Amino acid sequence: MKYYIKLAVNLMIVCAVAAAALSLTYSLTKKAIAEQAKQRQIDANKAVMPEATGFASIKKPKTGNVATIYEAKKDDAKLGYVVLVNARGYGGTIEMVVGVDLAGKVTNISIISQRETPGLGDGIVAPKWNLQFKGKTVDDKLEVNKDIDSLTGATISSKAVTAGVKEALKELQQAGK
Amino acid sequence: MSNLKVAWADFKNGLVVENPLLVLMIGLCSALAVSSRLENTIFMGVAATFVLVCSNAIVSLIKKVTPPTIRIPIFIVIIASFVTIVDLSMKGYFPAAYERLGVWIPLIVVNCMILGRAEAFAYGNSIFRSVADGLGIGAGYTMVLMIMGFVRELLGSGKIILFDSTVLSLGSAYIKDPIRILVFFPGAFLVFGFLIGALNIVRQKREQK
Repeated sequence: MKYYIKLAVNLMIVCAVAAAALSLTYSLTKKAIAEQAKQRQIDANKAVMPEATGFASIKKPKTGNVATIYEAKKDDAKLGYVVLVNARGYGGTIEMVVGVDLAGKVTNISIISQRETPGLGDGIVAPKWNLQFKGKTVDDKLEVNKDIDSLTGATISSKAVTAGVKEALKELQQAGK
Repeated sequence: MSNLKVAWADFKNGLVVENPLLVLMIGLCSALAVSSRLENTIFMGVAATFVLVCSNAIVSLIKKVTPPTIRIPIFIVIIASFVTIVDLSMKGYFPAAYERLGVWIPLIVVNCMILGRAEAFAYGNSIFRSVADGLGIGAGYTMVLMIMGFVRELLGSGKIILFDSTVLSLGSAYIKDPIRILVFFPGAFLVFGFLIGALNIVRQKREQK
């Protein structure tokens, strides 16, 4: 019996020290991690709404792939919306933002994070490819190989982004924007 | 032999004689997965080496008070802690690399290369030698990983991109139509197979001498 208690105490000490080390690391890196996440979001928002000076999160739908809708403002004037979408790509979630102006037209899209195949699917981050979504509205077909060019060898990735844009536009329409 | 000589022998042992990837063939899963880009392999190599050295040091330090019956859970707690430290630090300070390496950083926990060295080496040797062994194995792992990353990225995409700048390019004609399969998973096996083949040729020639 004594032997087993000794084992338990032994393991407990190791775990306690490990926990202390981890909580220390966590508190040291917490600020940097939060800042990185915030910075990435702001960079992406700025990429699709370059003129905006402020973004305010206005709605978080509970269903679907739309994570957040931001209202883009320049000083006090409303410029449009930025929709954060978690599209389902070939290699996992594609985190992307879709900028939409007040007329309901896409201003641009930007990919925040993705894990598509290097060399093929990761072409979705290319600004040149992203620009073809510019001007699309909820009434457009938004179908790969019809009004959207697919990336060579990366149909699934292309479709995922296209579906993400479509969902963002639909969500905005439903929200009455 | 002096202490330093012993440590040097341990280092070389990990680097060449018992190279984790090419000779022991452990820790392959993550190695094959992350070697599609040279930049990834550098971060992965440094992360794995850090965990190896630290876990080897701690395991060796507490080996006298570690009862054999519960040594594996204790090793796992130690290794998992260092992996989490790497994970959090990378997330905070190298977000781009962390994003690309994704799940492979937390998965260093279950990399048998690290548990293997804790069990087979650090549990029975001095701290000094264990650190040398960790450095050697880590350097051997990083070296092979970087060779694979270099070959796969250069031939598979036609250029090497390091920290957002192209450092080496095979020309636009090649980039247009490179050997794309090399950046995919089958390409990892192909390159790895050729590396083992090359090593075997070197070995055979040495034995003939």
